[in-house]
Amino acid sequence: MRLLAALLALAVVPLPAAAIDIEVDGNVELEMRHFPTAAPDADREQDFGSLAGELELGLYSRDNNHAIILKPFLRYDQHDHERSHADLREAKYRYVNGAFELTLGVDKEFWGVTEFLHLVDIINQTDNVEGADGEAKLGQAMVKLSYASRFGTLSYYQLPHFRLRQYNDPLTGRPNFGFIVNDGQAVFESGETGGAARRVDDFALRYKHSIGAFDIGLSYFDGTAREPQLLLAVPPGQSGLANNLPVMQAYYADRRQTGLDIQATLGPWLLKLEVLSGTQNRFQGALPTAQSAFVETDDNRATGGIEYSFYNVFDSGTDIGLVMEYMWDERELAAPHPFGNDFGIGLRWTANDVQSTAVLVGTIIDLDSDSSLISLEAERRMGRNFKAILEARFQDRVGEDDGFALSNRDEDHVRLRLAYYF
Amino acid sequence: MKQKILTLIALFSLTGATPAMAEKAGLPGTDDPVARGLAISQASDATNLGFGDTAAEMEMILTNANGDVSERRLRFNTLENKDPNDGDWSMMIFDEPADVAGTAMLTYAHILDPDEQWMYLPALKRVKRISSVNKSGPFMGSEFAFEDFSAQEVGKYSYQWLRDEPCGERICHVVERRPLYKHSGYTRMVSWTDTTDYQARKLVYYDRKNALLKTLTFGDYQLYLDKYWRAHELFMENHVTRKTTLLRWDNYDFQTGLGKEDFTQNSLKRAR
Repeated sequence: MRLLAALLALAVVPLPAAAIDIEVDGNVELEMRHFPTAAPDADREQDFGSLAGELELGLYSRDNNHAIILKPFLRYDQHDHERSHADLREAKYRYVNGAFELTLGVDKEFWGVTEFLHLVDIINQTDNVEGADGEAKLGQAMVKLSYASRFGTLSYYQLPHFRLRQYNDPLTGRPNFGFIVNDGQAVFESGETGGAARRVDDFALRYKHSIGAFDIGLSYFDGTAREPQLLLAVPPGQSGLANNLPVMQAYYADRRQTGLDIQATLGPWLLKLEVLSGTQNRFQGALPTAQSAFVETDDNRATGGIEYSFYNVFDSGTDIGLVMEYMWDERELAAPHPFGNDFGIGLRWTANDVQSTAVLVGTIIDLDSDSSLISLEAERRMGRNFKAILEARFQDRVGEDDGFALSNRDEDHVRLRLAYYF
Repeated sequence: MKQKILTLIALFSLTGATPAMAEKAGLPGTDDPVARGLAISQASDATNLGFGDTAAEMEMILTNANGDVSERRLRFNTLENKDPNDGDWSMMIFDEPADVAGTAMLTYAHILDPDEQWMYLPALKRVKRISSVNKSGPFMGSEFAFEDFSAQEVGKYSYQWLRDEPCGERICHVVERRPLYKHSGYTRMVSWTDTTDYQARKLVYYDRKNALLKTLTFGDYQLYLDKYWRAHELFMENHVTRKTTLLRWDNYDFQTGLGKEDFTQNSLKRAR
């Protein structure tokens, strides 16, 4: 697209064409999602068709020191009105002067080293309606200052506009975990609802350094928790909605957390560790409501493991990668997420062929409840510009007293995407 | 009589019967093939000394045995490491196929220690340190292996001079080299280096079982800054699979002002 963009620049804006490069990239995709298990209520669908597109427009000064990048994203979902959404993934001005970098505007930042669970990663809100793996993120407004030296890279982030986590359509949307979250009723620790109550002084610091085989990251965050605590607002059967599901209220507490991520790269072995220690107020009890006791609690979590790659197996040109990671939370089954004492194994096969075929199979086993989740991802380029991506997720076993696995039991699904890149 | 001698000399140089006359002064003799092989490689490496930095675009044309063609485009920035005991720094930026556009790879090459490598995955905006053990695997589905791309530092191989012989219109030193680094897919390569400019003209690869695997031919050499030769067409032919890859370099720029700050993880994320 570089050539076309250059031509456009010449044709449309002859004057600045000499001073700036314009680049246009993007993709559009057709998506089908299928949930094989029929839902207990009539409104929940089994098949969802969807269209999505992402455009990246970049304006760069010739020396690349100034850049303006816009990256809008749009999805339309046939049934799920909450999943039909638009987001500015990026809308930023970037200035670079040698080792200094300034970012002003909306951007995405990824922190961490592990594969199954991204513990220390916190800057961006998860785009919760996009996919079940949580990898998609909403754009985050920021002022970022970064300085890279031979002693490492130090970055400061001021995060003035918090983004709410979005949830699927209460009636038609899937996966549906047996409750409804009404985004509009989110509450902040200030005690108020609505956008005006958001903190505007969230900030974060990160230091990153590579020394020989080691890549080390240290991070600190003080701001609005990206993951809300879900409080029971309307008990089952009282919502007045057709499916009678309970309605939860998303509560966003103030949170401070310190994170450490380390990777050692030793030949074909990658050894990884992420450690997180956080403090925030939490409503107490197994099914908390806004009236439950509100107590400051610490949470300590860790995840780590190995990634080993067999390259060019039997001179076939293909690679096999093995990932094994353990996930731990001191609260174990009482943790507000499914990864209290879990073990993940993944196997990645890369064909290294012209079509860049790759397959990833993985399972996460809960060592407390024996629940297990299986996932499969496969992708292959077709022709020059198309790519097919297949994903499947199954709740294989549902252990006793495992609310997360239980609520996920009927939400197995297959997702097929056909994307066109330009 | 004088006329006769001149004719004789002309005849000799035409048939290449006096290759030793054309070679670089001070090369060890043919009685010490190891020292001679190393010296030829050092002489070739020396022609590149002081290049500073380069930026270039690359196009790869992959053709399989049925004649199906697919293309790749990328850009390659290199920063010379002034330390003779260490390798160069490089950044590779992928433009096509479109689904991998924006993916970039940063490499700090070393001589015998493993290279340090980071990959930037634009969809996740994630910089991932990757293992540099992957030497023998195919690069982007092409007939080039990763190790064919990494900096060809002299210290990465042991050498043995085999013979001098005509190669096209020139005379070439034929030198066998064996990788000293781990995880190579080759037992040995045989290289043809011309005695005029000391540039590689041909490279024949033998696999781990020492069977003939690939032939790489260097063509379209162009001279930059009156000093630095760069081949613009590299043709790799796999004799086993019958697949070929034509690698075409374009828009070579020397001493563009790239510095160490352009080869950091921050700059990897900015690569475009």
